[in-house]
Amino acid sequence: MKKKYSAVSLFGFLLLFWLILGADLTLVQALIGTLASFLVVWFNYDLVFNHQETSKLTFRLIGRFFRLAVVLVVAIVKANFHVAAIVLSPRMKIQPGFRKIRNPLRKDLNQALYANAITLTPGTLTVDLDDQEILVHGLETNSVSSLENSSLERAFVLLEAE
Amino acid sequence: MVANVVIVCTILILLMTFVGLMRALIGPTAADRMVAINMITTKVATIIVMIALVTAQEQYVSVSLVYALIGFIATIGVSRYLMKGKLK
Amino acid sequence: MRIALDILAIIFVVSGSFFILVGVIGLIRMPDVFCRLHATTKCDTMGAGLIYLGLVFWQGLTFTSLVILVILVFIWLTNPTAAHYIAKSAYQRLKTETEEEDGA
Repeated sequence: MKKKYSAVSLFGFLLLFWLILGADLTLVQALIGTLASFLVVWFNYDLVFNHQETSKLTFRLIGRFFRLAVVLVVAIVKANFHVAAIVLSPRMKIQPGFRKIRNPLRKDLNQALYANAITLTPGTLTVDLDDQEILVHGLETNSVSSLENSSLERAFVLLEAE
Repeated sequence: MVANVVIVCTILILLMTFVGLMRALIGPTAADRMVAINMITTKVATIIVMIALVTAQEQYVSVSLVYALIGFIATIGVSRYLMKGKLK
Repeated sequence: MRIALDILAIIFVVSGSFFILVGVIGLIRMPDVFCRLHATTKCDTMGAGLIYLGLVFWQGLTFTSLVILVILVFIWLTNPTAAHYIAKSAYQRLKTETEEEDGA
């Protein structure tokens, strides 16, 4: 039942993608796109996310996602100036090392997004993850622990909250 | 006015791509070379979009999307081979 | 309005080129694989994103700029994933090498 819901979302997403890449809005174009998107979803039905892998797509989730995007963009801009300051300083002051932090998320898609977000935040790079822990490489090893209870983690936890 | 700035930036990024190629040449391990090649892919995708817009050949913008896609698959494939010694 | 958008486009393209320059310098100067990944992933993602946004401001809202936005989202999703995979393979190589040294 839940899987049908996400199959329909995937269909809409694929159709939108087709219409953007097609570059002209004619009826024939739209019909071929509908057929192609339907065939793709139908043949790959076993690959469609089920409810254990992703949160349900609701308007509240989209609102939380936009809030997450704002937090993330701020973190990315900060990360870039951080790296620029390190790279352009004549003597690079870094103590690289590995550190494990806890993984607060349960659903696969959210975990993947969280790992990508950690890679883009200041001084951290995801190396490996499982359901309990994430292995993070840090430019300054001590700053890795500050990821726990940060605003980024809280925004991600909110994605899974009911 | 903007076109001139974009042309200058394109040439600059092109030169930087060759500097990145140096790391692919001397990089001590295979992973170093992968980092350099991955970066070059992103840069080339950017350069394709910039040149397509400057010369007003907008149909070539989609080429950049396919290039980025192929670069991503290549990076994943080679890393997987380095990790497991096979692609399966 | 046109002038404002053009100035915004120039600022975005030039700062994107600056971040890409930082990424390349980092790739050359950093001491090992993981640190190089730090420099290239962050700066390349941000630099390419800024340049694409600048080009969108220059073009205005057309189908071409929608395609450019699709490329932007695609690069922002795939670049960290590729970095993660390279880091994972490098880490496994590092681990087996240390184990071999300990055993010998």
